[in-house]
Amino acid sequence: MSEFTRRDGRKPDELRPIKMKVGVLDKADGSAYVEQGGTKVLVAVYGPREVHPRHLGLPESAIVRCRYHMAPFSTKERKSPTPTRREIELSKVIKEALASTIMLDLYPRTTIDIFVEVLQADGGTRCAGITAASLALAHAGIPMIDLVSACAVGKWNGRIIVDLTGEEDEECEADMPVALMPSLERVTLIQLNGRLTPDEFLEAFNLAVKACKYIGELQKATLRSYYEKIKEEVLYEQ
Amino acid sequence: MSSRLVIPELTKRRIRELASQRRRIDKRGLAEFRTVFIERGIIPQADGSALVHIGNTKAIAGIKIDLGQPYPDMPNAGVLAVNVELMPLASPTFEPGPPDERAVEVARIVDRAIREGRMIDLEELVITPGREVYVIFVDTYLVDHDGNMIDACVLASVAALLDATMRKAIVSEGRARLIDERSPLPIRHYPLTATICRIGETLIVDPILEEEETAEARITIGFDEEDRICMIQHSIGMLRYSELYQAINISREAVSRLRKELCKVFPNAG
Amino acid sequence: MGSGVLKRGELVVPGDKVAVIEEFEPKYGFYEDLGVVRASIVGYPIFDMDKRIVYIEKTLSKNSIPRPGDDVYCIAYEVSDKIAFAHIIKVIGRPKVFQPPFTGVIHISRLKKAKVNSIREIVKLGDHLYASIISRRNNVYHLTISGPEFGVILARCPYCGLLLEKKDQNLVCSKCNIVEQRKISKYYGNFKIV
Repeated sequence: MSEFTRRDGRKPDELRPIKMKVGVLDKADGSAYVEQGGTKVLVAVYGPREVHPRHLGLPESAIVRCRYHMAPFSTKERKSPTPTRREIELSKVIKEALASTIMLDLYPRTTIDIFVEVLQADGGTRCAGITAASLALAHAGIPMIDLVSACAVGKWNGRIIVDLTGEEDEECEADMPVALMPSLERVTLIQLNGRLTPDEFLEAFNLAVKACKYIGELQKATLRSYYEKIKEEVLYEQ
Repeated sequence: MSSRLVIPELTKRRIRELASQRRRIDKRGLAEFRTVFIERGIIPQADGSALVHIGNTKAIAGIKIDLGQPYPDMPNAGVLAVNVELMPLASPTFEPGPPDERAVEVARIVDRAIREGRMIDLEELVITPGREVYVIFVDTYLVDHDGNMIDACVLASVAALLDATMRKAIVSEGRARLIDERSPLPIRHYPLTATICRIGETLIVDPILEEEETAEARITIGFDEEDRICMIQHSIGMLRYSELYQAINISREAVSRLRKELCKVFPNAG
Repeated sequence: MGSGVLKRGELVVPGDKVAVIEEFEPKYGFYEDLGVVRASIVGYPIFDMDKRIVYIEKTLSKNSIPRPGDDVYCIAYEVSDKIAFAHIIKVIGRPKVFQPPFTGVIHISRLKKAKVNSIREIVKLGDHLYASIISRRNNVYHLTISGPEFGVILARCPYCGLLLEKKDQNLVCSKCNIVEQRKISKYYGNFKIV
């Protein structure tokens, strides 16, 4: 059991240092910034606003649109700004991971647009993106049944580890991003790249649940300290 | 581009009602695949091919194998390029043009199932390290869409790869040339997937189109022949932890039944 | 909302449990899941001890969408005989500016008192309006400009584009010397968006 060390000296179940901020952008309806080790993600939320083109709107609920994008300077080698297949897929799964928490039926014929911009990529960008986007949605005052907290787990050198760095992600035998609702205990995203036995899967998933719960507590603390500082209650709504 | 099929609310209500009684609209068992049909070698022009039916959902996969350069960061591995097209002839909601997010998602799922499931030993596909390798193109066409396109596309791609043969490469004066001597691909594992939908509190395998549109959550889980999980994609909705565990167990059994169908055509596949 | 005994709670964030359904019924900002009452937005809950309800009265976000009952600032962008379309830019009293604007409609049947045959007689393309949202039937914002405070608050001369000035019940252009008819708000010319 002893002497298992990761490249950056962390224990298998140890997360990288996490920094979270909300309300970092002026024009967006909601915004958040999350740093997890070397991964830095900025998220803006616009809406609910009228859908254009209008035929995309739904009569019974709001739609959610999401763009996950990596800045050209976010990776070791410059990444072309054109969206890759990976970015298109991640945009979709991030959207789905968040949409199931939002009370969409309150805003028919509108859209909620989420922009996830990866400023620096060092593993776990989609998870940091989901964590930040959920904070941005809460900051935008959009009703949702719970926050969404996300973290990746994986198998590296035969061991189940949490919060993989970019380097670990390249070398690992399996990588499994998980997003869940910390209060309601429901999974909104799980993906697996690589191979795990069912037992390893259970171990990895339980580790992910632990990590996401911790991240959920950080999210709540971040929102509380932001709003306790602000103190202005602006709107009367019903 | 509107890509939603409108399913009558009455049909959805019927499906939900049946699901709450643990029944299905086409009278299938909850964990049962529709009738599976696999035909290999339907396109002799290709290096490998297969036609797959899962109920009314049909997919065709074709393999083309060429020589090419390896990726600079992987000089000692052959190249695998997976593409999935949702053909306009498959559904009134598919339109010609660049692939939309659904098509991209399916392509990435098929790619991951094959690549991360270690189906092919890519290191065996190197001719001259860093210079020349085999490039395997897997092109999968969904030609009739009646739900569960993911499992159909994975099954078709895997069957086509099992059907495929590659020509022998001869190196002369530092350049490779393909000759007419064929051998099977270096297959190591046999990944297959099962897609599960949650309707209310009931989990069902292999949804038809109407069930898929009614479902509140969908997850696809892949297994190799040793029952290792080799791919998970949670596409929509939310699941309780217990439902996730349940989905893993149900899909493992469903995949092993699907594997029996594959073995009828490819006896080695499990 | 309530007039009984109100108790203000600690700040909640989405997902936070505040009560069980037997104790309090969830109103704005709360919902029920499996018998538990949870928050759906960030805010300070108010527990109405008499009515046994819990709600958030004031949100902490500047974000909002127009709702029936709101007075709005809008600009007419299409005017025909029976119907006029307007871009809703802002709700009066709230900071959010809608970008893109929401679409609102004014139907002639809502202008009975004005006794006009065509909306064109009282609202013209490009007019800035002070209006009230009466409903959101069929997911369309229906507006009215009946009442002394509602109506046109800013209009331009159709020839030179100069702002029209209010004289008696008409609007005039000081440069072109023309007179324009409108349904004028009592705030015309000195309207301040708050």
